[in-house]
Order: sequence, then structure tokens, then C-alpha cells
Amino acid sequence: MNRAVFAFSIRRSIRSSLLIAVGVGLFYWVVLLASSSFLGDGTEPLPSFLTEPPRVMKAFIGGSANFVSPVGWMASGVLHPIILSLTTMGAFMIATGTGATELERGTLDLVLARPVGRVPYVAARGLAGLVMLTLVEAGAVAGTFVAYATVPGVDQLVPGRILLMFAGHWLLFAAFSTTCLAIFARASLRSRALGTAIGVVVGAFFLNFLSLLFDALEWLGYLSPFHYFNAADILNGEPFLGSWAVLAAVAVAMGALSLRWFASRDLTR
Amino acid sequence: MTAPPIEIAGLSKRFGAVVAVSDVSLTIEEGESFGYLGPNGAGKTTTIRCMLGLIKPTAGSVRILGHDVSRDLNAALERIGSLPGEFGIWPSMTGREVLDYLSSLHPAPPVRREDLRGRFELSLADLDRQVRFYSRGMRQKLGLIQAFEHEPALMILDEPTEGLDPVMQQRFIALLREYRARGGTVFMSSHILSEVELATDRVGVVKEGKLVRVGSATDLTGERVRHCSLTLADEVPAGLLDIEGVSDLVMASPSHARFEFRGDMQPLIERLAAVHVLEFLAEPESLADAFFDIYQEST
Repeated sequence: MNRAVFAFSIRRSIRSSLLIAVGVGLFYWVVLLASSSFLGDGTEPLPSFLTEPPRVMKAFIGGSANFVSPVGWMASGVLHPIILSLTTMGAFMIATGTGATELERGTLDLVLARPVGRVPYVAARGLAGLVMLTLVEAGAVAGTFVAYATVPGVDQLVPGRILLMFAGHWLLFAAFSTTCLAIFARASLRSRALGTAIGVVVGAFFLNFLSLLFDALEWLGYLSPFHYFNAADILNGEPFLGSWAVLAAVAVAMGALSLRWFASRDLTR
Repeated sequence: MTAPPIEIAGLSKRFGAVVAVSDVSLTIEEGESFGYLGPNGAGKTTTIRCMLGLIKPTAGSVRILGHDVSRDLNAALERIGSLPGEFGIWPSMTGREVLDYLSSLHPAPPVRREDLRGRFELSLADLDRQVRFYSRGMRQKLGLIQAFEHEPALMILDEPTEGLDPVMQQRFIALLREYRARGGTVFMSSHILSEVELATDRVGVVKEGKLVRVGSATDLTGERVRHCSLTLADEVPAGLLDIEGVSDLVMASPSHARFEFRGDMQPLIERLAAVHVLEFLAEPESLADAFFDIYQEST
């Protein structure tokens, strides 16, 4: 890994990543605050929609939808479209400025005509991307713990499991981050690479959604990284290491592919 | 004995069915300034990108300062200063930040930055402005500074004066001469022939990926035609210019002849010694004329 490229990548992205981290933190606090209102004052019975949501809603929220418990609130929060968008931005922040973007802009020639090396360049960019993702997840953890201390009901969650859940969320998006890096390492056109990378996340979400909605398509879920992250299971203390191993393997494999693709390609526009 | 700064052997590069560079072999000696000439799309930039390891050759090899680029690229790049063609700069960074970042990627310190900044009239205030506010010429100056500031042993420059005004072009030529006087080697591609003529002492002409001619700039022009004008005090004697090498003779007046001459001029000078010459001009063909002739010949 090239330290100068790593430091440069961090410096260039830190401000945007901090803003995203603050936004994510605030959003988690809002999700938990809003969700706590489902509990009401305890005098009125909850509508059946909330106690037993329709299957399509469960599929949309990743399999478990329980709006009357803090575990359900968190599970719906981590896969909320805004959280998905913000976390994807954090995970893609540096990867999308790598390879195709620098090639199209003409800055890659200046960098790689110096004794940097292609593999150290991509490794530095990939690692910096994971640091930025960590920052965004740290914002999420901070927002959740502020809610834990201030929003009624959230303190029913186990703090250690909250941290584990966010570690799993980090792994999920680390897999997407290195996938994005691989796409940008191989591509020559920024817009095409960006479209492909976003398409991968949307497609993966859609595969998981279909697998949860239709029994006949359950097998599709295994093709999606979202299948291997279930916030409710982790918060309820269910085993998760097998799923994490799959996510980690995807992240490592895509990282290795980034290095290989970038090292072996011609750098032409 | 040290290895030549650049040794290219049988270099070819294809992009699918398109042959960008075809069997180019070339050796550049230490201290030499070599001009790589050709129109857009001839294969100049592809050759340079192969030299910098940005493109992998389909066949052949490139050795830079004794290092095989395919295996030991970083060792070569540590001693190269380069200016890519159509390079880009991060628009939201200041000129200073760009130079600092690029120099942080190089093991040698940027010892000549201040001197170069002064020569190219890039003020400290300019350096503290974001690059997106720079003109094309200012970006090119920044590119030249980053290429030269480490005092590399070899400069590889792709269209180095693109966007520079005539004054800055002159300063660049002067800089190149000083650099060579200190022992530096230059490989420079260009389609601006006057610049190559001033800055290099050997030239390669590339066409459709093939190196069609290599020679010193004076060889390329010297073997070729000189445009001559002769004015005598009296009429031009019959048969005076009936000599090998003279062609296209035109008598502008009885005492004034215009003609073209090829080859050794000594016999002509000896004949002119016998008559009263008021004026004799023998204008060498420019590299541009030679280039166009070579290009036509190789069609």
C-alpha cells in the first residue's frame, strides 16, 4: 500500500465522509425516536399491521419487521432507503474516485508515472475507502447510542449486540465498497462504472427482496450480500459468524480482483 | 559502462485489430535529446505510455535506464521526470497542493521547484489558487514544474509546449538546453516541428505506428534540398550553374538566378569563386519541409 496515496485519499474525502457520518447518526436517532411512538401510551391496542406486518413489508425490511420492539426498529432502520443511500455513498466515496475516474480526468498518468506501483495505488485507495466507511458506521453507532440514552424503549437493546450489528453492517458495505473498487479498477469510463456499481447494490437488494417475497425464489437470496446480514438476528443474539464469513470472503475476493484487474490492464482512455 | 537511458526493441502494441505501434526499435544515448515526430494518432503517445508502464506492449521490450519496464518499472520511474500528453489535474486542489502531492510520490526532493516557478512566472498567489481557475497555459506550467523539479536523469515529455505562449516556449527550450548541459537525456514527442528542431539533436518520424526515419535533425534536412538565390555583378555566365545538384533553375533577371541544390556544395562554391558575386543565399530546408517530404515518401 502506498502511504502517500492513502493519506491523500483520506484528506480529500474526510470532510464529505464526516458530513455523511453526522447525517447517518442523526437519521438513526430520528428512526429510533419515531419508532418509539409505535408503543403509544399502552392504553390502546396496536393495529395488526404493526404486530404482524404483511409479507411484502417484511421482505422490504430484510425479513424481520417488528415495529413494536426496539430490535424491529433497528432492523428497519439499517435497511431504510435513506440509510442505504448514505452508507452506499460512504462506502463508494473513494472507490468511485479511483481507476476509471482518474483515468478519464487524466490525473492517473501523473500519479502512476511516479514510482508508486499499481497494486500499492489500488490497495491504498481500497483501504482508505474502508476507513471512510468505518467513519460513517461510527456516526451510525453514535446516533444509536444517543437514542439509547434519550429515547424511551431503546435501552432495551443490548449495547454489545448493537456494536456487533453495526460490525455486520460494516462488513456488508465493505463487500459493496470493494466490489465498487473492482468495477472502477477495470473500467475506463466513470459514468459506466458508477452506473454498474450502483446497479450492483440495487440489484442485490432486489434479489434479496424477491427471495423473501416468493418461496420459489428463495434460492436467489444466496446470491445477494443482503441475505447474509440480518440485523434482527444479531440483536436477538442469534449466531451470525457463518454469514459474516461469507461477507468477509466477498469483500476480500473483490479486493483481490481489484488489484489483479488494475495491475494487468492497459491504462488507456 | 552504463546502459543507454532508453532502449526500445521490437515494440508493438495492438488494441484489438488496431495496430497503434508496430515493431519500433530505438536507442537513445545518455545526454541526447530525441524528438519523436508524427501527426496525431501516429503512435507517439502509445509509445510513451509503454515507456512509462501505463500500457503493456503486445510484443517487444522497453528498457529505461537499464531497467526492464515490464519487470522493474518503479526503479526506472524513480529517475524519470515525465509530462504526459493531455494530463489532468484535480480541479479543487491548489497548484501547491498538486505539486506537494505529486512530489510526495517521488523519493527525490523537489529541489528545483522555486527556480522553475520563477522561470515560468507562476507566482506564489497563483500556486495558492485552485487549479480549476487556471488557464491552459498555467496548467501546462504546473505540469512542467512537476516533471523537472526532482532533477531526473531522463525526461519523457509528450507535447510539452502545448498551451504555452511563445515567450514560455522559449523559456522551455532554454530550460531543456540547461538540463542537457547538466547531463540530462530527453525524449520528447511533438507535432510542432520548429520546437523539435530547436530542442533536439536527433529525430524519429513515426507514421501509422511505424518508425519510418531516424536521423539527426541536420541529417534529415542536410541531405535534402537548399533553396538558393544568386546575384552577380554581371550577367550569369552560360553554364555556370550547369552542375550536379542544381535543379529548378529560374533566371529572375540576367544577373539573378534562383535554384534548388542537393548534395555537396563544394563544386558550386568553387565555380562561384571565379565570378563577382554580389549575394548568394543558400537557405536550408526546414525540418518541417523534410518531415512532410519523408511523410509523402513513406506513403
